[in-house]
Amino acid sequence: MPPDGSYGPTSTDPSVTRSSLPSARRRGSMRRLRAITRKEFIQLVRDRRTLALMIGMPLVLLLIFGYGVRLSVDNIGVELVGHDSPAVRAVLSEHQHFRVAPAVAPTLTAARRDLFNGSEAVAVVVDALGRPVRVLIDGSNAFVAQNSLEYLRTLMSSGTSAPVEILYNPTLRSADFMVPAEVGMIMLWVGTVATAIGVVREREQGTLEQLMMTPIGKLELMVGKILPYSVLTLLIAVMITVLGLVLFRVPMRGNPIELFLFAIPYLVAALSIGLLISTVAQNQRQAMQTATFILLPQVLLSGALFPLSAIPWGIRWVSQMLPLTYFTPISRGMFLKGLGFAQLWPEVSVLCAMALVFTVLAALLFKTRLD
Amino acid sequence: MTSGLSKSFAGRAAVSDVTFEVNDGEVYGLIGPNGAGKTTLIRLLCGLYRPSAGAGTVLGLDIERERSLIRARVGYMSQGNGLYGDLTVAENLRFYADVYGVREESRLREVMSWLDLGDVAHHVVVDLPTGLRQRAALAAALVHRPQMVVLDEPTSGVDPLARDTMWELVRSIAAQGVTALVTTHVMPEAQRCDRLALLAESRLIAAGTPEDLVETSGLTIARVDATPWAEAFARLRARWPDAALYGTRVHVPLPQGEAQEREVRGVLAGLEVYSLSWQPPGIEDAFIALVDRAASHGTA
Amino acid sequence: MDVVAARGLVKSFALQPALRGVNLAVPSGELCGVVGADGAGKTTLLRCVAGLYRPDAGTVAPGRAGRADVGFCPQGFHLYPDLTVDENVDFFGAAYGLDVATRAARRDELLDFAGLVGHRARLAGHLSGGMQQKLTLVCSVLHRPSILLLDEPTTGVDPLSRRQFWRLIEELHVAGTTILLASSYFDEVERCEHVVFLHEGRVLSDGGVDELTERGASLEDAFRASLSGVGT
Repeated sequence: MPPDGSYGPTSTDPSVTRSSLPSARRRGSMRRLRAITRKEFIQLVRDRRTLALMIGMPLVLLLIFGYGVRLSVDNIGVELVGHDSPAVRAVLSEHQHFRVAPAVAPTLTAARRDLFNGSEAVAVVVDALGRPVRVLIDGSNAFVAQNSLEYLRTLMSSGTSAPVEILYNPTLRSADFMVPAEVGMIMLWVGTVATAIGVVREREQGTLEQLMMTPIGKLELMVGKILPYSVLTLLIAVMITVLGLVLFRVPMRGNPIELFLFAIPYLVAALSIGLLISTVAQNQRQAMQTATFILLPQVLLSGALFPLSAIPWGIRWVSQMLPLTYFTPISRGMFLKGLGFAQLWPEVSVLCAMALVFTVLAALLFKTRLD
Repeated sequence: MTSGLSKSFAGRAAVSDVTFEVNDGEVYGLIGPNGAGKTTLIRLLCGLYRPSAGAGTVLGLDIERERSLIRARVGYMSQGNGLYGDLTVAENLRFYADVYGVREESRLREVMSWLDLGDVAHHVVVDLPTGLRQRAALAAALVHRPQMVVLDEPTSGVDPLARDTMWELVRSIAAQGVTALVTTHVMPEAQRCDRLALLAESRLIAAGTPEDLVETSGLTIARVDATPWAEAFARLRARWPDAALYGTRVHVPLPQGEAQEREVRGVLAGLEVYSLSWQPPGIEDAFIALVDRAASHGTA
Repeated sequence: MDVVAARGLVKSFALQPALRGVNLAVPSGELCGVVGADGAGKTTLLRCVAGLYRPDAGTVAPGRAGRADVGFCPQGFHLYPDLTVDENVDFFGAAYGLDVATRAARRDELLDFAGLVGHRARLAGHLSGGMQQKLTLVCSVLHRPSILLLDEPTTGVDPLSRRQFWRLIEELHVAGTTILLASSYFDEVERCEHVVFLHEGRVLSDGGVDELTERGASLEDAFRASLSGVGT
């Protein structure tokens, strides 16, 4: 049994008096913010599965982009048709992307059959004088066909045109191209999903209702939720960058501190999208589905994976509304070209504007009441 | 404390025109079937919902204009427990103490020792049995020395012995002058409140002490032992649909009580009735009778 | 004849004993209530009786061999929330191996019995808690078992739904079904012919309500009395 009156209120408690001083209120606010942040971190560390997903997925993506997926194609099978020509053979073999078949297909029909059954991807018809006169390409794999066409154009015209020099990524390594883009994709993924799940989980558990009954204000709750996930997201972004530099020797020609600064408005935009998702999702599954629905098109349309020029005009406007569309050139420009604010200010400004809009929108829609 | 308070969702009334008053330091129960509006009502009082109509005060504070002050003075325990399952009891209490601006470390120890949580302070909440989990949630609601506690189904899913402990704690809190507003749908527990409000289909249909409610119902229970019991039960059930089987004994709630003895014996004619005794109804019988009566008034 | 029986029943999980030698005898047609706190072993006992657990020691009937004649109503809602009432009932009917005609006939009969006819086309997940419990009961008696095991069927259900659910139990009881009911509500087991106090895997005492309440004013008092008897 407690001593007399000990459950009850004390009149001197500052949080209960009607006129608490602004400074005292501010101190209380800091304490509440600290409390949420600390709680969030404890939960983050304890939820091993989610943490593993948050860290593991970027790693897997990094390895896939670094080692596995190449946006350039090698080992394209080529055969000559009609006549053999050491000259054509030599030109083709010079190019590392082609593997020239030793045998010559006797007729066009035979060549078509080889393309049909997939044993070769390209057939070059050579006339009696040893000149290439016609080229057949298997278009069923558009990616390979596109590449072959590009290579053949440069080869066939090499006699006449000026030599080609490739700047910034001379070997056209996909890692150099993809790792900077991945940093943007991962920040978006981790920032959005972690924030959305973090809020929705509280709604699901019923702790959000409990929080609404405490003196925690809307802004404190939003910031307290965002802060730990920003730290997590930035840490993961740094991890990807460092691994990219060390494992795949991706260059970092710009100032990393500057990149870090430019990443902040981008991150705020991503986290606000997460908060926005949390205002519509009732449970974690819905949050996950909504996030996928928003993030997948973003990755496809932003120019991070496919060049923006490949995106048709009809949906280009969608691309222009996506934060990743602006972060990708910043990231690539800084990694590969060493660009800075002087060149990138338009993208940075757009990201700042987006961060502002999404944050205000999230603040408007984020409710501290149940109805 | 409230007058004419109403709340509807998408045109459906969840609480309509509820007026009631709770005295300082009493344990006040809100009882009723699921969906009667108990939770909506307490959420309205705590400012978690905006009322569609009506007004109310909690501790003299207006539920719309002064809800931030209400929050600071009320300890709230939501139906879903409100604790973070993946944090320990101590971490949860620390969190709520910080959030409410309670600085003294001693307060945490104090609350934990009153509620006898010392042994489980460092256990993660999900690993605790429901009874202890609810007790920890009560501790979190008391950390900031509230003048009133609002407990939404504190004994839901709690086993019988832990339920008893919970109610003893609520009574001892009230004995310290802290008003307790408690919802429950477990009727025997309602008996432990000083006063009750009975809600059904969004309306308040009766209020008063448990004894008042039992009396308002006007019922008396006839306890009938007869052979063969199944036949006796079938006949009594056919005549009074609320007749219930207790072992092989039949309980029949009767509005006119002993005046209906002849009627009962008439129904059982031909069977061997070896005992017919009378007892006052339990709060559950009274509750069901009052709800049925309100429903028939509503449709009439 | 005791159709449900346990003798020296022991069952442990990861060396943690849940049942420490339980004896139980329920004659045919009896309504028997097992009451105790969380972790007393109520669910384990019912699952052993249903043959869902193999006992570590002791014997139990009907157990796995007799499960065709047992209806088991587990705690909580375990039907398909995304199927309608009709679809759930039909699926479980098929699971019991009933043919289409029998399934349809039993479905109509039992939904009528449970007062769910008006809700046949609703998704089970959208029913109220009380209706879900009734649907669970319907699905567990489709094969007309002579023994019915109910694990805390009214936990979290409000008084009105509880009354309706008990009407169904009474109907089945009067029709001769042997019923073993686990509950954490004393006022509920008071309605049983035979009450078993279970605590930490042991039977504290058992008997008729009148017999047990000789030790205290109410069943709960009697339970506490037998608890302190164990303590000393």
